Amino acid sequence: MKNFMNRERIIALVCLAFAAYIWIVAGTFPASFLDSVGPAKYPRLLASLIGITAVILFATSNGPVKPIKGKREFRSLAYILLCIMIYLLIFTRIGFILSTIAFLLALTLYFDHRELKTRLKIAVPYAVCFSVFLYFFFAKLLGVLLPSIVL
Amino acid sequence: MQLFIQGLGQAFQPVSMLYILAGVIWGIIGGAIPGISASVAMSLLLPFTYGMDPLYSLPMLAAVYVGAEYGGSIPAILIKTPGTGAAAATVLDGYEMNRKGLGGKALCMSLYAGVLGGLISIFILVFTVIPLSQFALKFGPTEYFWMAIMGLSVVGAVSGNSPMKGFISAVFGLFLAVIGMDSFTAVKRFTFGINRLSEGLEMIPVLVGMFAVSEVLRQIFGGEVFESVKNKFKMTYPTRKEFMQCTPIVIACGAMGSIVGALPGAGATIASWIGYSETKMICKNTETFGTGDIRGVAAPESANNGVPAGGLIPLLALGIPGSNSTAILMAGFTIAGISCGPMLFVNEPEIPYKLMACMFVAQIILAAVGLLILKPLIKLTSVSKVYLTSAILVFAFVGAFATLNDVFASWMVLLFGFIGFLMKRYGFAPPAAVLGFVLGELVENNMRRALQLSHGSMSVFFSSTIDWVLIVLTIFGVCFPYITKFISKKRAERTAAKEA
Repeated sequence: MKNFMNRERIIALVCLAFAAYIWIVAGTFPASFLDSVGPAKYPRLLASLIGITAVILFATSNGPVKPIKGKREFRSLAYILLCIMIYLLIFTRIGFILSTIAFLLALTLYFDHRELKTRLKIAVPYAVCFSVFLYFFFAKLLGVLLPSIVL
Repeated sequence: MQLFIQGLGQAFQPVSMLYILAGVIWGIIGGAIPGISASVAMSLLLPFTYGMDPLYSLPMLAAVYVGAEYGGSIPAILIKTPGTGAAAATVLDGYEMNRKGLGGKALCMSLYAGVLGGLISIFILVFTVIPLSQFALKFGPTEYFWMAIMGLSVVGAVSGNSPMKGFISAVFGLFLAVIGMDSFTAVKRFTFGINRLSEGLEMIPVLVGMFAVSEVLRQIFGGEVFESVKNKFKMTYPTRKEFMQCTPIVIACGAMGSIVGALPGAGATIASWIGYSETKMICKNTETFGTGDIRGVAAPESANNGVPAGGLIPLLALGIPGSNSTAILMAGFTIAGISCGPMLFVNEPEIPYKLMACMFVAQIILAAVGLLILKPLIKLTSVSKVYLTSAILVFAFVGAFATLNDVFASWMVLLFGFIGFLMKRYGFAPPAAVLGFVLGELVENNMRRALQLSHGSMSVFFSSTIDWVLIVLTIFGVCFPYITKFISKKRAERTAAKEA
């Protein structure tokens, strides 16, 4: 059973489910007398292409599948995703400069494995200078409306 | 030709060259920042052209366009973040070259291809501005449809080990282009109740997410970010052999870029993908494409740098801006009190030829500026990975924010970064998805337009000579990698049999 439902076949089933989702949702689009082709046919064509390819993938994925090589740093991945989400949440609330300084410090202090004192010596000036430079470059020179500074 | 030479005389005046230099530098900066495309960089400069002499304002705007098409390739090669959509194809081989320590070589080739491709397209523009504009008018919905399909034929080249997963990735990209309000019926499709998705997905957040953020997540997951940088700063240049090998590709892709640029609505992004796919189809030993092949940098860079001059063809000859950038250039003409169109060549023929001459000078200035900034740019890659990675992330999120002035775009970057990361992990091809996304609108709109015009008859797709030429090229493009693989396998078998 483990060999039958290998990784590739699970991927094929996910693709098939995705194709089915597109097909079903496209069926809910209202037709218009202005357009003889309609808004649903093209997404359904794409769903069919994904579905057919997924079926072929399922049928041709026999036997054991090679495991994916390399390290797996689940904790680091979860940490970076969490940091990014917090950064984007506080970005508009506390302003660009403060949020970016906090984000850069959170990343550099975690991923740099040197002594804390050495890390701080480099990370703090880097985070402050890079954030301030980016703010002035984007907001003042290019006119991008970055969330203003809150101090 | 005489008018062009006269224009060159004026363009080489010191004051004129100073304005062109400013335009080129501004264009490189704009092109290198994700979210600040050529059109945004030009529009930021537009208010300053009020009251300026059109002899300087128009060349400066055109120089921004030229600089931005090159600038987009810099972050694409160094940090896998295409500054503009047109540089997305450059990522495939450019970034791989940089990973192998050949970033300098890739940037140098990108500059060479960009400048030479740009010069070729200017020559084409000078000699063919009138006939090419008439040819461009022959392109209807079916021709555009087949042109986009021809661009998709490169999927095999960017699919990695699994052509089926590459195909699914490309169709997934085509699906991403469906999201938003249907332009024919105004029906909201796959917007998940999110109003901001009504206008569809923005290109920059999807590109930056799929390429840059997914790569950062992959490096972090694989523990690469903890590794110390062993390679000290090392500058590499293309060899004479590589220049010789790439020059015919650059010339062909530059010419193709100017033709694509002349087609309204096509643009640099499509030109670069077509350049990449056609080069892969025609060249020998193409199995190295996607793994850091210098030809994979030369082809798209030459093609997208050929587009600005090509884009001037419908603008100057017909008064039709074919892209956002040429629309802004047209605004520059309007501010200067000049009307584009056929009468421009009758009433004031020196103006279009002066502009062409200034673009020629802009290419030469681009070469000089590009060479000057080459070494400092490469030094950037020897920065510690932790600092480079965190800077890339901030740059990606702020660049995306700049496209909509809304943090929603940054959330999209994160979403597509994670999707791209999962796709890579499970053997799918994010570049194929990007390709599908970029060409999706062109495929659907023109397919539906053609079917409406023919009242649902499929024969409309096979009705013109241009259709057939594009179909044959597409079939050839799809089959060619498999044919060459089959032939080389047979050859290897024969050699092995002889030796035995």
